[in-house]
Amino acid sequence: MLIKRSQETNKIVKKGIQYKMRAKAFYVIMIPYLIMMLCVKGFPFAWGLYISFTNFTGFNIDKLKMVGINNYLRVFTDNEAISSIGRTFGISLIVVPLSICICLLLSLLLYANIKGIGVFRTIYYLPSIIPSIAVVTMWKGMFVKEGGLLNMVSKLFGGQSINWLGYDYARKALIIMLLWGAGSGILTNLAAMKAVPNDLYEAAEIEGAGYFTKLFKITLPLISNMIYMNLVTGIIAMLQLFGQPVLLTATAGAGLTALPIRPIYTYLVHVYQQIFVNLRFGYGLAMVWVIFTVIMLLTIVVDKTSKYWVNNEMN
Amino acid sequence: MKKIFLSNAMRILCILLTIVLLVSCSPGKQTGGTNPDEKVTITISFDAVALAGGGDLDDIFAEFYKENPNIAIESVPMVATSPEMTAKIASGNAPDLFRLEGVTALPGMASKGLLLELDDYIAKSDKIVLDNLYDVCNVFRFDGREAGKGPIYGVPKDWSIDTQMWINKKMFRDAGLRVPTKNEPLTYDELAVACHKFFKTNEKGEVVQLGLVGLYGIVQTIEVMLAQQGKSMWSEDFGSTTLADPDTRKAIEYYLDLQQNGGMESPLNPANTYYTWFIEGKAAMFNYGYWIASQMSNEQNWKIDVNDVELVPGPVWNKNKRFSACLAGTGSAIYKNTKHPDEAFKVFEYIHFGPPADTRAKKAFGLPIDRTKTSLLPQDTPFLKMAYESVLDDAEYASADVRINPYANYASVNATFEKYYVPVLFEQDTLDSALEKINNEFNILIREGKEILGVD
Repeated sequence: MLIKRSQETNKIVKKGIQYKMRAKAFYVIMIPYLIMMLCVKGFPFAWGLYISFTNFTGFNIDKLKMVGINNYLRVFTDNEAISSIGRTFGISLIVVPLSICICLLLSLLLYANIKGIGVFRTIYYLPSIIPSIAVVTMWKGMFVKEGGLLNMVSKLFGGQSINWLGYDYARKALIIMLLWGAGSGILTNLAAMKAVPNDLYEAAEIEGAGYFTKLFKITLPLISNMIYMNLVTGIIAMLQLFGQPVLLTATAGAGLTALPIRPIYTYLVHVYQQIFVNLRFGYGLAMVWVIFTVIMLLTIVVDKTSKYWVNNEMN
Repeated sequence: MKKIFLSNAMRILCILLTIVLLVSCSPGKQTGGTNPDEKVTITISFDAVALAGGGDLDDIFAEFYKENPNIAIESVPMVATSPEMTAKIASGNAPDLFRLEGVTALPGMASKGLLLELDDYIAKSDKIVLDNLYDVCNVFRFDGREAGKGPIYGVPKDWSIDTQMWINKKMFRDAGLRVPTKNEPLTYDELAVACHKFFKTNEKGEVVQLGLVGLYGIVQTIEVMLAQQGKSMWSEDFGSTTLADPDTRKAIEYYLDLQQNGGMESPLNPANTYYTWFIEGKAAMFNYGYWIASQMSNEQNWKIDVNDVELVPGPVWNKNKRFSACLAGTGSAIYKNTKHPDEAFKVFEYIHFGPPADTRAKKAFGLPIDRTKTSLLPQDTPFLKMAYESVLDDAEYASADVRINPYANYASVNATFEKYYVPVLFEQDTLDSALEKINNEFNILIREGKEILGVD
């Protein structure tokens, strides 16, 4: 009995040692990454936070003054910051849900087991791997008033030229362009669909369930974690919308400091203008921390609601 | 087995850390210093195209390397107002030699104490004779408040009368308008009439012909209009704006009217390929200066008779009072905190007065800043000769009177103006409301600029 107990104790001790060794090995392997992460990301984060409380202009590091929370207060009294975040939310409210729906629809179509489906999957996923600068350049060529593809097609059918990049249509043009890249979640959606056990569909069919019943009762609930992920990443991406509006409708300036037309002057564009055009580094970085907080809060809200509509192993 | 794995992992980690330590403790790139035999690297924000219209940097600097074997040149191409340059300056990694626009960027950079005064260097130089330089060189002078006066911080590498316009004489004749010449430019009244007359739409309301394309930014254009009357968008001390003054408002209204109703290119009536509009006879005037003479002389796709094209001075308020403005004057200046000012100046001399300057002149890269190199400009076709004579004639009237506020970054001023002006163009806001917003933002920019510079 004593011998048996001792053998069991030895086993537990051995397991404990093994666990400790594995944990040590894990941390040993992780240390270079953690050091890099602290240097590459941690330091800029801390520096950015510090600068957001100063009057840094890029040229006055030797005369730096702490301004307390003035830069943060300014965000809420800056009409341009408020209106630009309103515009950004407006665009996000259209683009995020539509993107998720389009992506879902494409995923369902591309899940079909037909010959040559791989070609279609590649075609629909292609926009997601093209760099955004190339995408904007291509769409700009299509939207341009004189000689643009859209207006050429419109003229063929007797329509009028539209100034897609002008005040009245710029937001529509941007939304169309952003929705063109809606297929970025196709791969993850397809992977999630493939993970749904076939038995469930077979059992449902035996019970007489039709396509839509299976879709709404089995497929969508079981891939809801992917929809959740697309929603969160979509919100984050849209609230950080920057390059596309600038490159699409620049009216003044050059490169990324160019000024997009007002209906698509988004929050991050305002941030970039503050930092690199107006040289208000402190204020610009305070704006960055404000949008970071907004994104964080929205992510927490979405996460809190997820227990009501997202299916995962835990629930 | 696990022990072996752990000890191997530890060994690998130790090796990695040693490598990191060795790399971080190594002396890095040799930049030299006091020892004359030591190799010094001078970073310049020019690329080969900006220096000599293309080619290999080693070839461009071949002669320089022969004379200065201890100096190496590293190119980090970017303009002074780009975000990359701003970030480099902010992090203390600015290049030794900046590429910058004398007119728009110099006051802001000099007032922040970023540039080295070059008066003493130029006085000692055997390659630079100030009397040989065009007066427009003064755009690189700044006295702490006003451009055009005070110490010199650089020189333009090449320049042009940017207000000059290429015109299609046949379109003027056909429209029954007086054809401007190099001696008698259009007045602003004539320009307005011409733009309205040239503006044409088809039955669908699409713009098929414009008067004037290829414009400079609105702020500079309005400042030129005001400078001709001895006025400015800024008060005498640059502490406030004159946006409420009748003359300033008249200039802005003039510009707005031409963009809204009268055939001047704008976001409302975009001419994205404005050069094509001109060479195809769809625009009567093309505001681009001498820069494009070389490209035009090689153009194969003219849809108009090239003999009908002429380079003429920009518009004036009064026929008898010529005013020609350089609105860019791109050149270079030396970073004040450079560790190698003497070597940087040698590179500066070579770029502006050595073989690259000759190459640029021969390629009609604009006017050379040194008058003695003017004869190098190409004149081998009637077209190039016409452009040469026109630009040289206008150069004698060149003025550096376009005022740039040293407290407010020019890019900010331009962006702020455009931000509120474009909604007015599209009738989404009134001019009064826009001017009030612009004025408020300009005042904030000025106040912040003064605070940073410690000016009351």
